[in-house]
Amino acid sequence: MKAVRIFLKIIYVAMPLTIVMAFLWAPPAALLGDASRILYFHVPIAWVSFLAFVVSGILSILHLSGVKKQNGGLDEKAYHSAAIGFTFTIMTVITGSIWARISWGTFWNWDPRETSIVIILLIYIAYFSLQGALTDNEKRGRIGSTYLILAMVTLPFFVFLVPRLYPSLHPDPIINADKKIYLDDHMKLTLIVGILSFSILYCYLFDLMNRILVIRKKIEEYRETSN
Amino acid sequence: MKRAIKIITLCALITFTIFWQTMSPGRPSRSCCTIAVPGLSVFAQETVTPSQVALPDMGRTAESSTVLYQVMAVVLVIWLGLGLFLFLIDRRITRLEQSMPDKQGNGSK
Repeated sequence: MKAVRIFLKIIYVAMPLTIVMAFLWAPPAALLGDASRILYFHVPIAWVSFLAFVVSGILSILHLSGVKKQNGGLDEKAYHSAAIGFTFTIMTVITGSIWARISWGTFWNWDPRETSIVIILLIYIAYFSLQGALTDNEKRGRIGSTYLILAMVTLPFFVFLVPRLYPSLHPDPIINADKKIYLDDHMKLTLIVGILSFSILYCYLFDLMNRILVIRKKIEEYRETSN
Repeated sequence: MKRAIKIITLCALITFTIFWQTMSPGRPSRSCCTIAVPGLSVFAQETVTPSQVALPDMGRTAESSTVLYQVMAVVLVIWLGLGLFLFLIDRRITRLEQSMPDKQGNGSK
């Protein structure tokens, strides 16, 4: 675990590297110009939000299936992952809107992908409201985990299916019908480095939140035993 | 390029000022001023030269390149602030973990 934590510290180098690569090393896109550089942040952020939601769903499955871990419930870890995913989804909307303003002239177009992300946001807002409304820890864990699994099931539909079913202003998805990535080699490498960096950032944040959870649990245990 | 350097300097000083205050909340804010004031004075020293008033025609590419450097600098400084914030949280959590007693009640400092 210590080795993993040391590895996660690579983020302090990886993120500046991504920024420098995105602005200086990667060439601008043919028609979009320098504005296209937002791609190296928008796509990785969107990827991390998807990853975080999937992790929260998997942790919820593990929680409901009875797998127990020392120090801290899996339902709470799932909550943390969903919280990170939610934050990154908002960041995806912000970066996407800026890009839309530059490319299409308006911040919001109700494009299928934009509509999908709004629905995903609403689904997870409902989850946080639900978590806030329930006071009993066990009940909250069970109901919240069930909800997160259902939310995860809807994700492929909104992320992969809807943008392919309806005509979209967005460029071809990276995983397209030809199964090819239409990007310059430098751009491709920068995008990969960006995706890796943001994934490490997600792992780092998730680890920090879980460590705080463990400390909180220990304090609670200590209070209970001292009383 | 000069402008980019000034922006980097200012943003870095502001970031460090905020963290200086975060790390030492008990100290008077005079120390913050001693850092922030020189930072602001970087912009106060700016003078407009004739070349800045009228940009040359061929300067369009150079101008966009300068803007690119500026944007990169701002993004880097934002990351510097966030990275420092994460690092400090990580360090505090590690300290707390080390000071927490284990199940047998050992390890508390």
